[in-house]
Amino acid sequence: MQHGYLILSSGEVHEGTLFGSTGTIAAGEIVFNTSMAGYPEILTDPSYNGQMVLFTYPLVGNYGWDDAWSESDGVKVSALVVRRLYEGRVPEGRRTLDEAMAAAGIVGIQGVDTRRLTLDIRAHGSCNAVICPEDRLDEARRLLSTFPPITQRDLIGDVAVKKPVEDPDLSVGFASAPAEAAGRIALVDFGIKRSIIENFYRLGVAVTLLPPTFRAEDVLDHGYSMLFLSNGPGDPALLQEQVAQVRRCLGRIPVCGICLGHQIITWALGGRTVKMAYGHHGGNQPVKDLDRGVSFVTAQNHNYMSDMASLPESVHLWFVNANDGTVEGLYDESLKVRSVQFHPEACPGPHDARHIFEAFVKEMDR
Amino acid sequence: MSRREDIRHILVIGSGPIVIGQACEFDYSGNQAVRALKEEGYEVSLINPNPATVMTTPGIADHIFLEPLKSEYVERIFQQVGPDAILSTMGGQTALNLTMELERSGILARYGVKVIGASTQSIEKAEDRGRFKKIVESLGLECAKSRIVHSLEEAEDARKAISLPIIIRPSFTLGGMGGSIAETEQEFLPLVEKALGMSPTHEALLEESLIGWKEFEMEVMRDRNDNAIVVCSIENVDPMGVHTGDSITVAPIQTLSDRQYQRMRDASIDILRAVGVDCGGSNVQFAMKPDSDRMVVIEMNPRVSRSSALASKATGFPIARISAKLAVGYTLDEVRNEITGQSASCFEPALDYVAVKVPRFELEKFPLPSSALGTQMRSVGEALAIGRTMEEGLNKAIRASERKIEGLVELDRRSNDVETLLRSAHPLRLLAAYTVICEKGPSCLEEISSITGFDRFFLDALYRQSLMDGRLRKGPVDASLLAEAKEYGMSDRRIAQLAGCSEEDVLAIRQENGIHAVAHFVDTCAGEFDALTPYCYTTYGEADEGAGLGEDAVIIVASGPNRIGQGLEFDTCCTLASMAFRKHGRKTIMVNSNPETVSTDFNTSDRLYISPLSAEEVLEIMRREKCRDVVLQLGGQTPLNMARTLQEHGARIIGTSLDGIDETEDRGLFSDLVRRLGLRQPAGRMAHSEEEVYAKAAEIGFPVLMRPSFVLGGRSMFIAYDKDGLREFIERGGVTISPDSPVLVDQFLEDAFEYDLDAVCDGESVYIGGILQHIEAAGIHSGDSAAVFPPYKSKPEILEQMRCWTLKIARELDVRGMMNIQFAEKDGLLYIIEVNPRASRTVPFISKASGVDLIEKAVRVWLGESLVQQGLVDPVTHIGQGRCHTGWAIKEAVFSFDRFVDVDPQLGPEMRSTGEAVGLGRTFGEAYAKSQAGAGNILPTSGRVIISVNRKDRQTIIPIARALQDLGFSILATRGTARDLFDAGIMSDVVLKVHDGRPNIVDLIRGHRVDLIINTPMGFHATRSDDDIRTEAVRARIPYTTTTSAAAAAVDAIRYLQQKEYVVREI
Repeated sequence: MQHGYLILSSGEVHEGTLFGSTGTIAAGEIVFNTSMAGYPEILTDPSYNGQMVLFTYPLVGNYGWDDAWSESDGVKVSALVVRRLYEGRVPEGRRTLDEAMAAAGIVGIQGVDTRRLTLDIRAHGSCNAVICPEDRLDEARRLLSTFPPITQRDLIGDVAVKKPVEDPDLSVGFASAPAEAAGRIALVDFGIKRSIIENFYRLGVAVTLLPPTFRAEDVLDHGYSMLFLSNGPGDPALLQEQVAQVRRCLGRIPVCGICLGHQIITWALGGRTVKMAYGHHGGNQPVKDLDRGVSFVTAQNHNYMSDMASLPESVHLWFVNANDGTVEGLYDESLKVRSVQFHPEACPGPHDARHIFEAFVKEMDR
Repeated sequence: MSRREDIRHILVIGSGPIVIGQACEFDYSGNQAVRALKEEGYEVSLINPNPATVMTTPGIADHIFLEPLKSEYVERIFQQVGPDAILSTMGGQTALNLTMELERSGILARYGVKVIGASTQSIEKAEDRGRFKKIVESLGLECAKSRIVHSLEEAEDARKAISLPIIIRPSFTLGGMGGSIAETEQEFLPLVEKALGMSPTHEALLEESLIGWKEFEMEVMRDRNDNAIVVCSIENVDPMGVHTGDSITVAPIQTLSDRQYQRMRDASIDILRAVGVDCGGSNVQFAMKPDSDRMVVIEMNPRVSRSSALASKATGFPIARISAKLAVGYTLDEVRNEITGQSASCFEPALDYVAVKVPRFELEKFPLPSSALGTQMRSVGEALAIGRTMEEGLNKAIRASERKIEGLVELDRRSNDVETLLRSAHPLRLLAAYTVICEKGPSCLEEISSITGFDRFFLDALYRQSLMDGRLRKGPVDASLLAEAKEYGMSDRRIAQLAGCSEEDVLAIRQENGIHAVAHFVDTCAGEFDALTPYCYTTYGEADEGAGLGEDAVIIVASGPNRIGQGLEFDTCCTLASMAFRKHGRKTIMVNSNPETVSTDFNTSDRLYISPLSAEEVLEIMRREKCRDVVLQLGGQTPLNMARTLQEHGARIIGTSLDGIDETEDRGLFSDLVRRLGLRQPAGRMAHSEEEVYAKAAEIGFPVLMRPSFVLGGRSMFIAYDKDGLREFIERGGVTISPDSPVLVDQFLEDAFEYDLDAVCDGESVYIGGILQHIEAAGIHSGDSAAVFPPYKSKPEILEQMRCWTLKIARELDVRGMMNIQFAEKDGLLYIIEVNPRASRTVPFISKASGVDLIEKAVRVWLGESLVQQGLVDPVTHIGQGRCHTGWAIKEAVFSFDRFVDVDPQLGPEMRSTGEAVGLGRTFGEAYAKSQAGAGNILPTSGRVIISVNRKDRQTIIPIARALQDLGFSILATRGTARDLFDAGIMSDVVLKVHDGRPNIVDLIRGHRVDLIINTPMGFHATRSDDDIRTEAVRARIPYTTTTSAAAAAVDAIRYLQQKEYVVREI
């Protein structure tokens, strides 16, 4: 058992036991996630690049690890904070969470008071933190003191494709690209989850991934039916170049997006985004459809949100969060723009919002 | 907002008396529903014949009817107060069945009453197994292979198609009653026959056995806008094959991947949608084959249930309350989550703890059959505990079930066949697994998992606990190890046992090192929002949340899991006390482990702790809340047992002093008291050996009553008429006698009248809420006896003597608060049987029948207002007394014998009833008729009655037989009885006893050729035939009485019923 520490930017130190890649020092913004299962999907979600995830549910690793559940090609969180890691046997054919983390070179800490950390994050907002073995405390403190805030980090480069990829293979456990596609979309990859691509495949839509360095011409000149902007890590305000390219596409091709993609669309439409105190991270967020009057439960993972007041009047509020009234989705009929803040692909989380993909695909046909 | 404006007045249907499978949870849900509806401005009526409930407390609903749950009485309510809707989903299966009956008989249509909650169509779809299966399959989901059968021939075909083992479930019964598992061809047909008999529609479902599969439950809510949420997911630790009510369960689900879980979630919501549940909650059950993705739908209940009560307490989300709001038109997004105050109710609660439920069994009273647990529920109650790890949750929940097991402990192999337990669905199976794990270590986990069906995840928790046990045994137990052990949820007592020191030693280390319990809030959102909730649990080693309430607050220790003799009545007392304290300006802290109850509702008290009930836990809560006042009188025996420890550690016990309590509980002190006051009690002696028992019995004179010196609910009590009887009982192992566990041998007052008296005292005066006279004579436990208020055959001077004795005792013991006294009267002499310095089971009943809330009066005494000041007693005599405001009120005990076909339903000194029903009336006959109807005994108004009485009763039975004949019944009697009747001029047909040939009495019962049975026990030496009559009567659902006094009461009731004029009365 390797003892270690979790140190917050406030200087507060929590002692615990390390697992996974136990020799490593890891830094990142600490955020809490309230999902009670689905740790493999969360840990491999590229949107978490640069963040360490604390699970509010105290028992993690209970059913082991299967690569077929991965939302990307590996573990993307910078570290993992849990109350209790399951260290017993797992069903045949699966690895333990500890083994998967070690193989990915990612450290985790267990035995810390996750409830208290959650209440602190709720009260004071997310902050940077570092995890280290007990003999590397000073080194870790130095790293933490110089570690840039998340708003100043380029987190997309690491997790997105570098050049266009046609009909990416999603590997075991996911659907394949449709043999006969009803259309093809240009999907800008800021760190996309496999499930999003899979949902397009399921609806018979072919997908070409574009890198975040895309130009409007790459989209407009190739006969795509839609520009789709993916989820991804970090602060959308830093992505002004991408915003400019999207703006050039508006009105010329349907534009849809999820999460970070929704935030980029917000900027492209002339609005802005703001940082939330501790964001929404979990699988139980209620969202209300203002057009249909129904509510459903969604998976969410974001620290920034659209400021509706900053948007022109032609933009309609599509969804709001039923808890705190924040923007969860918007559309502009004339521009053929539709985007959602939550994750309709779920994974992990409830499937109640899957119909959103149909709404996206409809834009493509209009 | 979208409140329904087309309805104005709603009738809520309760669930009636407590039986196995339908307990306090429906008081909790009904109570929440009534409040939620009143909040919305509706007029609310309530029907429930269970007087022990909180929901029937005056003021809760606008019109309260303690009337039988029968359509004829509901119809009278429709006529009298004119509701325009009924809420069908709050009273369990009973309320659904009654709703269906009202629908089918056209009564709903006749009075223009709408059904809200679950429509009759959706009830039918969910309950009719054939239709439900079709719905499930149409959704692309899988059901177990099954067939509906109506005859043995159909069953035989089905057996070939499905192949054994096969599960057999009768249609339309509550709690899986009558269900069984057939492993072999021999047992198959008899089990099918039984199931067909149990089903009101003579129908049964035969199903592929999924024994050993993992079992899950989803608590789902859906509104009219198709918003749907899963409030709570539950995983059973016990695999399929054990009724979910009898299983250890954990919330949330622990061992499913997100993909598996979401598939189950989608399926649950699809099922609600297809069945048509569109304004309320339901529970859907699933099985999954271990280590595979094969998922099978088991069943759904389109109403609130025991599981939904559990889910409400496990998550903090009030399902019943919100179901009621949905039933009157609201949608989930319109209802605020009151726990957070800032989130909507259409979210799904996120937990940051595990909530573990452990069932409570009464194995001593209702022994398990050889096959152990099965598809039929047998537990009588349950305890919930919350912890941050599996070990903590399990240790606390096992302790909370109050079976004297200190959490995860090894079984003693000398008295337990561990290997057999491991292979059977037995309540001790988990501890058997623990025992083996302690012995063999981690290498055996996979093997144990495959034998028991426990998932490896749960077994790993046991393994971790075994390592902790090992470290504690090895020592030294220093602060850091102790802190860790406390995080495992272990009690000081258990740690002391393992470390070989005393509990006080453990406490001392804890105090030196500041190792104390902290509180976490159950906030529905895992800390995401700042919660306004008062609901918390304790844990160790983490940050404490929320300030203590301080000296202003008073702690009420409630009664823990339901058991025979300690159940809903006490929960009602605790709840009413909390309401009264708060009304008078004091804050309350409720401590309880029973998730079914109103006391554990989040708005019953200013703070709620879900916690095992032990002195250690209460002291930690006291410390954290910074208060010292503790109420121990209201939760039955459980809180009283911790009185001394609490006081020694600084608690102030509200009301009667510890010395006063001791004087009633210590036999020697009590006898001194009786002597000192010049009262009378039956002669009694204590015996420490078998020989001494015989000697003392001879000294006192037979008959004698023998019992262990410390008992609850009359366990192991026995009445002996001679020495042989005593010897036979002792040799049968009925009781252990040793110097350490002596037994009491008392004079038995045969044929005495028994009385129960409940009073509030302030040290100076007594207010007697009421005196109840038992219908059954002494020898039958007071909890099992029908009781009449006011006494119906006693002399005024005896009642005066009771009042006088009560005042003497109250003053001598300086009783402050509640007191219950049991008296007996034989040959004109009054005896005192026992004094309980606490609220009794009958307090809620007397409060309602007399219209005076005794608990509120006691609370005011505790707050310093004397009974004279309250205007309850005569300032000169210092005595006051309540009267029955409806004329007559009769409380009938209700049994769950139909669940235990192997148990003889004969009444005796050991309490076995699970609940009670009341009958109120202008006349004795009316009250008794209603008490029987409320209890589910359908008294006939014509037909044939069998009379078979023992020698002692042959004279008393004559006027009864004559009256029955005059009422138009034809009489059948066994030979001896018939001869006596003939001598008295009553003609009867002779019926054969069981061993006298065929057709005999049992054949007639089985063939439903009889309408009423009067059968008094033949005594200890009688043949088994006697038992057979009663057991068969239970099976055939034919009313029977085992005493002549009850038979006489039945005659009065039948006379009332023959008038066919049903009257209902509001209380």
